[in-house]
Amino acid sequence: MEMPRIAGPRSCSRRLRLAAGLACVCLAAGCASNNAPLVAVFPPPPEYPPEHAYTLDELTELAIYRNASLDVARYEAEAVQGLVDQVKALWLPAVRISLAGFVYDNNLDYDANVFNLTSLNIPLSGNYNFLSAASFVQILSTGGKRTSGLKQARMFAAIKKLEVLRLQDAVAFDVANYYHLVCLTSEIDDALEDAVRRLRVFRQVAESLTARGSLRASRLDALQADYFLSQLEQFQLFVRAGRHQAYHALRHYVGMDREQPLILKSVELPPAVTLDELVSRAAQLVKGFLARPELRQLDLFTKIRGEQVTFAKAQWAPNVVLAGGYTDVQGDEHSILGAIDGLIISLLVDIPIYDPARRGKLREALGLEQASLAFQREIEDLIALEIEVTAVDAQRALAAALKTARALQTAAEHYTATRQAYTRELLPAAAVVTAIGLDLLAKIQDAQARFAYQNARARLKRVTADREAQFGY
Amino acid sequence: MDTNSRFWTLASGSRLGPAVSRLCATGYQPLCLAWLLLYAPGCAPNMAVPAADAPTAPAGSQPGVYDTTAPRPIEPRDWLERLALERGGDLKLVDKLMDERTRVPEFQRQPLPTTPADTQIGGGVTILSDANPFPEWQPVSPKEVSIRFGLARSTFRTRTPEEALSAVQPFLDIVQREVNVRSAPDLYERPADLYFALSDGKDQLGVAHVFDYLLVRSWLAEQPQKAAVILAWAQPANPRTTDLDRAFPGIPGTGIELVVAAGAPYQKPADLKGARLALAANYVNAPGAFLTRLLADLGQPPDQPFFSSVTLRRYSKDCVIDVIKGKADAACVDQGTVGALDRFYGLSPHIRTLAVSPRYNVDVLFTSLNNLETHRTEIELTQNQLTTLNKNPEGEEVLFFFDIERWYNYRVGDLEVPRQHFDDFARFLDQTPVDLKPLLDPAAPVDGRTYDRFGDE
Repeated sequence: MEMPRIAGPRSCSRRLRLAAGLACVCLAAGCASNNAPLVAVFPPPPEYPPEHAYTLDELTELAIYRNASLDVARYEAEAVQGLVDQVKALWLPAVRISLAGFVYDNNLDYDANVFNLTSLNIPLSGNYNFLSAASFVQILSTGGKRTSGLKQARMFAAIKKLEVLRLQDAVAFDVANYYHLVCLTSEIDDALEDAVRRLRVFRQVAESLTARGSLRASRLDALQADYFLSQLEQFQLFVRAGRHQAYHALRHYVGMDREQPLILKSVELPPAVTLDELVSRAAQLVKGFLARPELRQLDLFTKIRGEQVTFAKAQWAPNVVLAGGYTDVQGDEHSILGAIDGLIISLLVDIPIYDPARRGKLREALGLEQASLAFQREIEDLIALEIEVTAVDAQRALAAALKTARALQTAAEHYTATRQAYTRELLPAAAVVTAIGLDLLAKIQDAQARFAYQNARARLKRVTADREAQFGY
Repeated sequence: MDTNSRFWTLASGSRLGPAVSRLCATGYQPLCLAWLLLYAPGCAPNMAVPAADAPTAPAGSQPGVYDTTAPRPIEPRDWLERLALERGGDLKLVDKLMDERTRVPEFQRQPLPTTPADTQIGGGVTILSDANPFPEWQPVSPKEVSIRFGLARSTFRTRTPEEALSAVQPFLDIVQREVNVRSAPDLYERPADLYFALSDGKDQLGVAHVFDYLLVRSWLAEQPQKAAVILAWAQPANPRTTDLDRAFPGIPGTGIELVVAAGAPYQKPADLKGARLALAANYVNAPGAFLTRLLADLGQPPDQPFFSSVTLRRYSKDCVIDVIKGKADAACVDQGTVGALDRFYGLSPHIRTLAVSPRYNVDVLFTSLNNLETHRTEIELTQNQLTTLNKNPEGEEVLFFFDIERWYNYRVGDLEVPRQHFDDFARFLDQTPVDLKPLLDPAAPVDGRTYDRFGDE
């Protein structure tokens, strides 16, 4: 005898209607609107032939594509987007399917003799059963906890994105710094080479004059030149080693592969010129304040702390969850197992009545919020200080570069006049060595001043997060 | 293959297709369809407004906006990775519902205020100017001359005209920079030239030795409305006082000394009869007046020589060194020269002063009434700059070139001593002793050799 079914299986048409409804919702959500934000795409890197000679601007741009630390920051920011997705998933149902199969070789039916009047054979199972179950859980409300969590996650994602910009500025400065160091060491090396070659001639002539008995030069002149020469040659070793180190550091920060050539278009520091960005420190302060990624990160960090207060307050709100399950038993149509087929819907309302830890949590959040506000004030002031001192340093470097350019010219004229004076018997030979020394010193000071100026420009670009202005060389 | 399976295969083409097809075939079509729609990628391309927190593009997606903070595309290695990277319609649904409500707040902080430009660091030191913190030194711009002043030879003495004109230029610049008055100098060899310049209004100011001033004053007094007006006097540098003149009235350090070598036998001026005298060429007024008076007091007739020789040297210091080196027996020089040599070489033990003149070796600044009427403002401003020269470095350097410590505004009685001894100067001019005639002769030979700092000629 076939037992009646308590709940019959759902028809296929009902299932299809359910799915279609769900599909409509998804279509409406995912496809109907075209106001979605643009997808950010990593731009294609610039292409250069192997023999290309790079300018600083090109190297700075290239570093953005090739520097590995920037990739680290970019992928870490991407990873945080996964965290955001995890939080967003709290708005979506969790659906699971369970499948089970049972086969019994024992008769588990229950034979009963009721009041010794009649015998009943109650079937507990068939010989085989397939149990399939689907369940879903949908959080309906958390009293704001989910939304607050998502806000925090998105702000954290934005902080990580800004970290890329911060690193980008730092890498651009590093590239400029090492490029300028290569130029500086090259210029100093040139000046030293020039002086060394002149001194060798002077020493040779002085030695020859002394050997031939002339009084126009003495052994003292030759010794003085020889000693000076030795000093310069030592300095030259130091400078050349420094150039080698700076060049390889430059390659690293640009992200050049070791086998790739990196030829610089020029190894001379450009002259100092007055630029708009050096005109007003106050303008730089405003520009930098509005552009620095660190300040934006800090602002978001402060807002996260504020959001954590909201989150802590939401602990007083109830949570509402809709849970559902569907079970289907296939087998030899056992009457009892068949009776547990069907859909079960539950609405769970979780109301926290007494939980003293919530107060502690809120107190903690309030303290941290105030701490973050104070921290924001401190860092804002420190960054303003950094911009102020960097801007005034750039102004100083410009003024100094203009003055050393004048000194360079004066020293060159002094050297020429000294040479002429010695030739006309107006000055002793030792004065020529001194003049060569002064000329060399002026050349080195001029190169250092231009280095300080160009480097100060690079620092100013970094502290004002200026990614638009180019060096122009 | 049923409709759902075909649709899936067409839509995704992934390796998941067969699995889903099997599910559909076994009666799970609703779940398959839901899954398909939730995770189906490639809804209509979104190329609308870019956002600050724009999502990054998964591998193989359509191009959007270039952003160097975006990561390079991650290539999925299996269907699960593709599933995660492409996110699916369900998460995009949540994007639609929640992104606007949970938008990352804009940065709305205001830049910190800048420090006010007039902020004092302390002690009158201010902060650097915002736009021009290190201004270049600017030479004064050319300006039309509005006042002229005459420099008499009696005030620049042993210096050449080129030296005097060069040394006075910084002063002209100071005056222009400070009070916007451009002045120009004229050099005069004779007091009469200065007199005519003032009288005619060619020059508005004169700088001369006080005896020249008194001379010009006497001439101007004869003309109505052109009387001389004295404005200031100069304290010479290196003022020196000896035991002989310590009690003298007047301005200390403004005497003329008659010096001999410390070991010389001369005890008083009269002993110098027949000795060799060294004088500085062009240093005329005060030594001339002093020696004239001295010779007169000794009863020496003006037309007979008292000294065996009188040598004009290029510089005053050469006269003193000549005495020390025995090339001259006596030298008549200003106290400033003796004071400077004593400070530089420590010469005082090697020389002895036989006599000191009254304190009348003073330079003065003066004008005339006719010029005051036309240029009062410029004259007052220039006078004010002269008397405050010692208060700034440029002014001190100018004073240094002229061997002057500082200028003082004239007050009644300041120049009483020169007035009292003006007659000596007048006698020097009118009855010049024969020994002193070379001082007044522009063509007199001058020994131009000079000693270097090691005392070598």
